[in-house]
Amino acid sequence: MAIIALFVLGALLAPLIATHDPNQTDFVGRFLPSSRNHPLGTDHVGRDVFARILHGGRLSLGMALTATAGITAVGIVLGLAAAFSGRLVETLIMRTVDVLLAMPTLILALVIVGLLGQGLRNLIITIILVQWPRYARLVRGMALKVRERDFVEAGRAAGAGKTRLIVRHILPNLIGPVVVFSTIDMGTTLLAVSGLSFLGFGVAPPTPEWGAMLSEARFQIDRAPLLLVFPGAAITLVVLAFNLAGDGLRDLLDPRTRSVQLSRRERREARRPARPEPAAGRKQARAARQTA
Amino acid sequence: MGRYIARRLLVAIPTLLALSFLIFALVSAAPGDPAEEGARRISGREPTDEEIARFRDELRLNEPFVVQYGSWLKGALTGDLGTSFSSRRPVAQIIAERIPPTLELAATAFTLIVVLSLPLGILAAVFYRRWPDHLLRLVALAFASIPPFFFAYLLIIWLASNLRLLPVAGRQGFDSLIMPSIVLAIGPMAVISRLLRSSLLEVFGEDYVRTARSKGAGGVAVMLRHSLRNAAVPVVTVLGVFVGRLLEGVVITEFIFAWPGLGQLTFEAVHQRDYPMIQAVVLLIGTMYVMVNLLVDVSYGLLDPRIRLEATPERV
Repeated sequence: MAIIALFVLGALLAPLIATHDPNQTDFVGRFLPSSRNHPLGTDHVGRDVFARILHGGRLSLGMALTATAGITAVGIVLGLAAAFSGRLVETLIMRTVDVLLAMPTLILALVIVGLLGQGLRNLIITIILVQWPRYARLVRGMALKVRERDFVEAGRAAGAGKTRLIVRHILPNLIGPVVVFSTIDMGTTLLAVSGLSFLGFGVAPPTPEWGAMLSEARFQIDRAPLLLVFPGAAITLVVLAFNLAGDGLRDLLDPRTRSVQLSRRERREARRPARPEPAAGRKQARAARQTA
Repeated sequence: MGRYIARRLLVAIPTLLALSFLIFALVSAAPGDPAEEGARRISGREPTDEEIARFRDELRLNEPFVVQYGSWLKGALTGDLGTSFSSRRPVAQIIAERIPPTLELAATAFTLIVVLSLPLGILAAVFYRRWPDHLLRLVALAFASIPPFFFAYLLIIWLASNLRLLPVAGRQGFDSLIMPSIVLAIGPMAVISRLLRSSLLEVFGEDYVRTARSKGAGGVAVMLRHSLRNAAVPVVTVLGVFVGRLLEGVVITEFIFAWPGLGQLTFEAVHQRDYPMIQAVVLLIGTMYVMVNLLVDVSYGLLDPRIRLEATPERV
């Protein structure tokens, strides 16, 4: 159910079904209330808010997705490298991870993106640079555990080369938890992307992007508070959807929580005292008749 | 116990060193010429080549990288962090001014987090699967998903503009502390109350709780006395992470509420490319983060003797 929410939102926001150019200003029709032509009204320079939300969605979500993909990829590669390469490589990678994790990520990201300069690409690069350590650590830990398991031993005994071992045997076992992790993390990434854009690093105006739209809207807080609400609500809903989806995925994949997740029917029956089975009664009656 | 702390310190120090190196390298590697930037700032106009060269000498940019790093580090340890490009005042002084407001904010937020999460988490655990539990789950999920900068403006619109109860921004007395603290607190509060709940639930199932109850210890209060201490352990470990989050949240919150603290300083420094300031502030924040995590590790050892004992080698 939660996953459906995510997809619905994703599908809605991806296509550009806007009828207006999101960047076209119209100084006559500013601050228009919601109407058929402009479902969410217009903003302080007359642009159609609905179009900007949709296009902004493409940008915000696109960045979050790209960044997350990058982080996962880098994290997996480096994590596996740390787990399976020599001592030197492992120490190098893991110490880097430790140092990078010793800083609150937003601050580090702020500095990096501030130094790199504005721009979409720099923002994505920054986020990837800042977040990969967490994944690398996770992947390495899991890889080390999986390495000890029987089927890996079997594969090695059968003469499989190292690369083959990693790709065919170990990687598939990691994918599950990593996917759950990155789904939930997508929400965090989106918050980071829009947060940094809000602060002014990232896309340059007048490109629509949810965080940037919030930033622009804060000056109109007195005249049109709704301008703040739309992008903010959009971010909130998508992050919420990702969190729910991630939770749902985790419950699905984790056999431990699965046993606790009773189906609705099982829950209903647990509450109602169970009726004795009619078959048992008949059996008992027959047995009683026989002994008599 | 002492050995445990010593080991932790031993790990922390090289991490800090590496961190300072990373920060220094990062800022040095940034595109743009700091000498030019600084010279431009000082003179207020396009600097001449001579001025740039002179400034470059002053900043010791001509020396080999490692020497630069060494002298910076030495300065940092003795309290000399250079001069700010933007305001021409010693960096250390500016930072010192900005620390108290941030501490105020962080302390208030922290208090809020603890004061709110505790009862909420306990209630949710005690009324497991009934409506308080579900309510908390929804609220926590909502607060965890909402971007703090959005929530801040929602609060502002509601409390400051519409109801005119609180000042919109700035640091002027107790009233102005309320909104920023709430904004800082909601995220962590959501996660911590949920964590406390699940931790308590785990503890409730443990044998010693059952023993206590079978011995006649009824009533929620007595159960809590036994369970809370153990349930607190995972929560405390997480608190270290959340101080980090608080430090991050401070940047955005101070920005929104024009609160003159470290967060706003960080933002300004990056925005204005005030290199010495950036280096200094980031170093400070990183150090604070490492220190806090160290403290959390130590307290973890205090709370759970097993951790402490594992760290020390077996005595025959």
